[in-house]
Amino acid sequence: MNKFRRLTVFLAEDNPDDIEIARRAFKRSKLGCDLVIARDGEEALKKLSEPSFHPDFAIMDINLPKLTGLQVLERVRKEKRLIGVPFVMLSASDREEDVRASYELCANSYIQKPVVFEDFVETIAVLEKYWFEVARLPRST
Amino acid sequence: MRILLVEDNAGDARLIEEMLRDVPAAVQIEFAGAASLGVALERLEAEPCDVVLLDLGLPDSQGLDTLVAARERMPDLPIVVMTGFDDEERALRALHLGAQDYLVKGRIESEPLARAIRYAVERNEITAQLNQTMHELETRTEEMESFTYSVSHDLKEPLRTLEAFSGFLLEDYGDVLDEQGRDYLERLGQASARLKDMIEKLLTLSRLGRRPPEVERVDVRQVVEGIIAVNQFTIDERHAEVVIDGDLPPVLGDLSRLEQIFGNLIGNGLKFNQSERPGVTVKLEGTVDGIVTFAVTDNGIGIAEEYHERIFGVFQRLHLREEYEGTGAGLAIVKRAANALGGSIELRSAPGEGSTFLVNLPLYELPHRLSIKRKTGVAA
Amino acid sequence: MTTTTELGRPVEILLVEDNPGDVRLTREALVDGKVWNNLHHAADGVEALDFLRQQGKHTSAPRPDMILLDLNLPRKSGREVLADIKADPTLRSIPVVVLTTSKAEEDVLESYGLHANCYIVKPIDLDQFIRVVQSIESFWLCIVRLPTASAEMAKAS
Repeated sequence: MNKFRRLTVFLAEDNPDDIEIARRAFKRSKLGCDLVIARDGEEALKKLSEPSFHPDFAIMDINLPKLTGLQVLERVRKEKRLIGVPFVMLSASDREEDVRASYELCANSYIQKPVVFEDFVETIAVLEKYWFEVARLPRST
Repeated sequence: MRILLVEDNAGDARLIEEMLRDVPAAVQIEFAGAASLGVALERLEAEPCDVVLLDLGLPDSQGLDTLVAARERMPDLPIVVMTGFDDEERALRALHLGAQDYLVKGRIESEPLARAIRYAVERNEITAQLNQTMHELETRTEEMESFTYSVSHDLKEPLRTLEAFSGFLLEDYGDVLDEQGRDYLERLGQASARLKDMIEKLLTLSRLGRRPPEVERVDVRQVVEGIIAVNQFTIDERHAEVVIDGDLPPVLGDLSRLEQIFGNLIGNGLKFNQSERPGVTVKLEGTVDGIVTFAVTDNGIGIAEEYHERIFGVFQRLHLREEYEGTGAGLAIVKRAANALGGSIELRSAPGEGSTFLVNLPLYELPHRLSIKRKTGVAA
Repeated sequence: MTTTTELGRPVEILLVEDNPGDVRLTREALVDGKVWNNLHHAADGVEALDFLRQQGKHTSAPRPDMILLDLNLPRKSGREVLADIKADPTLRSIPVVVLTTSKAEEDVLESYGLHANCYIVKPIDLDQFIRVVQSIESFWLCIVRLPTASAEMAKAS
């Protein structure tokens, strides 16, 4: 991964407060990240279907209007072009069905939304460190 | 009233019938006879009856097994057992197995027999109602718990906003506010931290208050040692001491509930403590009838008698927040977790004399000398 | 200090690895970890699947909460194991982290194509290796929710 290129993080989230929280959390991150936001499932799918759009990382809420995060995930995972993009489900839900369904539909991981902002920042920091420094991702084409 | 008389000896059957016909009864008595358990069940299917008089020695079944088999096939009917044995212990066992009465043949007289039958029917009805009520109560409790759980969970969402945005405000605009403005904001932040704590405690309460799906052998010593290890920093910092005094027997429970029970008690013992060297001792108090009692004793500030009940309530605090931190849910969690395991909590304490919490829990025994009664219903 | 997970039991990890040195290092890194865990080991691909399907000498194996999988394994390769896991409806929800010395782009792509949850290149350097295992722990065991909470938790929600 080119260290000088800014990373593109795709965020599918309908709650405006949570968007602002994520925005601020990413602002404090070490790596420079540009957030691309979709407010509902349909918008998310549309954005992800654009051939020129290839985020470095995707964070998806489950309870999205129109299409749910799981429905978006299911369709996205069929697309070869995005196979190397890590999809992390970030949801307030702690329902076991949601967790299992996420993994079954090939989410890379599932994280429960932290309640406290500092924990949120910490979570984003661990996410970034893990996926961009520890994990090996395919070179984006 | 229709009586099903299950008796293979024709003479005995005849005798019983005659006895009951002699009694001036308010209700008309009708008889149905069966010479074996199999026939009895067939007859029941054809025509329902109100009470069963059951001889234990039948061609297709013998002894208390007859009763067990009969109860299994006709769980809702009152059964009065008749037998040739006058054996008190056997009679008691029959009652535990769900018989309404135990009559010894040859000693049966018509008046008491009629009364036994009437009472059996009445008792059976009352028990059925009781079971029904308990069942409803259980369902309600379960609904209540899952309600508490989902509400607490949903409350996290606005809380996340409250917590984050009061922080943002302070961060971005703190310098344009005067001191009072900043103080107000800080209070908001503290309140949301407390709210978060309370929600977490409610979630813990509703999770641990229910009976665990599985109970197993849990080594209490290991649990307590684990708690000491996790809290070692606080213990050292406060020059405190947590001691296990002697052997701690294993209990039948589940790990997370036991961690909550001992974790909260030990934590409280250290927290509500102004001794120079705060100390908590965990030891075995005794074992009676398969229930083991542990004593968790501290040299803390103690609790006045009048509060002994109140402190086990949810979010009950006896002190100002400035004096001691916390939500006041710890002991409620302890109590509910102990109850969920079929145990209980007692308290011995007075102000200035420290506290001793007695934790009563089912002892783990191998092999099980007596199986823990898990059925909540009353044996009919 | 080890913390109990929300599960009330240790996190069960299956390490599929034929190199005894790497097994030992991984074990060492995880023993000192922050989260209470049990590391199980399968030395080749066939044994790994036996473990997952509770067959052979593994009839009483627990269902792992996550799998660390090497790619180059005797008897059955890591790719095949990965493909089998992700094709099995009872196993596919278990996160698989591919942990291999291979840096080849086609291995990376193929692994993600087979729905590995993550691909990590094993560092040669000892300290770095330990650090990588610890990062795996601090991500998967501390902040990620694994698909295996107890039945009780599932019921409560």
